[in-house]
Amino acid sequence: MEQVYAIDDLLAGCRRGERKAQEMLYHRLASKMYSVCLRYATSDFEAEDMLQSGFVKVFQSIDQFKGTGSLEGWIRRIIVNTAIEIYRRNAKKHQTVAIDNVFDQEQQTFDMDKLEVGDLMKLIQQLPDGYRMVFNMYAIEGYSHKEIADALDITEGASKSQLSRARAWLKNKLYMIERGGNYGTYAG
Amino acid sequence: MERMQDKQFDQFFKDKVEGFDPPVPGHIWKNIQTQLEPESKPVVMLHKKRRSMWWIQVAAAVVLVVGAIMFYINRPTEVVYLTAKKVQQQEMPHQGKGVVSAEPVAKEKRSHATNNKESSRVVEQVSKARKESAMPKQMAQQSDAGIKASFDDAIPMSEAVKITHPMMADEIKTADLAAIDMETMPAQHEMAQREPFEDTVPGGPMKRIKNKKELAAGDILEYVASSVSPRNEKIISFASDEEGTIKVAVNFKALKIRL
Repeated sequence: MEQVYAIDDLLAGCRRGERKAQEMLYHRLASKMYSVCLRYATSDFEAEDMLQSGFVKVFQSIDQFKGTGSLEGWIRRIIVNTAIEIYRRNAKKHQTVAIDNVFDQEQQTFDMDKLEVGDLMKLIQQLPDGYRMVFNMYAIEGYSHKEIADALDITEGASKSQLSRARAWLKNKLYMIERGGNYGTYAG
Repeated sequence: MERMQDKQFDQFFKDKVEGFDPPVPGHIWKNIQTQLEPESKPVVMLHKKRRSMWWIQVAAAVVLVVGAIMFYINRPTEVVYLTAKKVQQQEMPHQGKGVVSAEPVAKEKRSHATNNKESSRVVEQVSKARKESAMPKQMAQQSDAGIKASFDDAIPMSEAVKITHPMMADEIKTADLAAIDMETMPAQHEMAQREPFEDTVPGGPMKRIKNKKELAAGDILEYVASSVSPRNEKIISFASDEEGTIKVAVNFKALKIRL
């Protein structure tokens, strides 16, 4: 309860444009949001840029927050939207990666507990652009294929196929890690 | 079955990454702060500044233009008078004729202070014959008419003075010569001044001195005939009395324009 009140206080301060309140809100959520950014970005540098412009949008449009959901969820959606914007902006630059060579690993279970979260983050970062977006949005954020299709300007079918290919790609990497391979160099 | 596995797989990733709390680089907040700053104040300030500067520049330009026009219209007028006039009639014992003294005078700014009373006084001796022959030719001018060359002026005062001085010097020279050669000199002096309006000049001794005198006359001519800036006026006026009341005045500028 205390934390809810505290966030409400910060929200009121942010609405009044108080720099101190903005700073406190930022420090409270920065790490979580940076984690989100790292998943969507291809590099730490891009993640920092994402976090920065995402929070700038948050403070500039804080008045639009109706208070129906949690403030954190609202901020997170803004961060993800920022990530989508950056992806779409860069989409023209990125060549479409040939995806046919990805094959499904027969092994369906992995000893996940041994994996460091940092390693998983790196794996996600290394996912080809389209896979990474769809996997993050569907598997982690919980968007529907329709929402993803609308956001990325692709068909639902494309979203589904990219998701399954992303999973196959990740499984393949995890398999190689378990076998003691160097996953870091197998991007694509 | 396959689906469940996929869901488990997704859930596994989700659980793992959700608990991830990476350290955030400290400079990001500073960047956010600076990015939020220009949004509100500086941009607007810049706009205001630029706008107000624009008005100041326009106002300054208008003031300058109006000032220049006012200055042009009300520019100070300075007039330099070169005056030769009859001061008095003197009876000269050896000639028994009326003697006309010509006084070259330089006056500035309508102050009619004559400076000819000392060395520059010229006693002009005019023979009756000469006077008679010269008189009719002078038409509007009386024999004792002073010739005034008025320079209306954008010429600064100091410059006007400079112009005046050499003439005075010439006149003084003339006066000295006159003192030496009483017969020819004065007549020549008067003639020299009248020359612009006179065609014929009696020859003989006069011619000899005329060459010398022409220096002075030339100077006057130079002022009279020299080109005038379209902005300036050049007035030649003729005055007959002590106070310098103008009888006839000719504005060369007006003539020039008509021609």
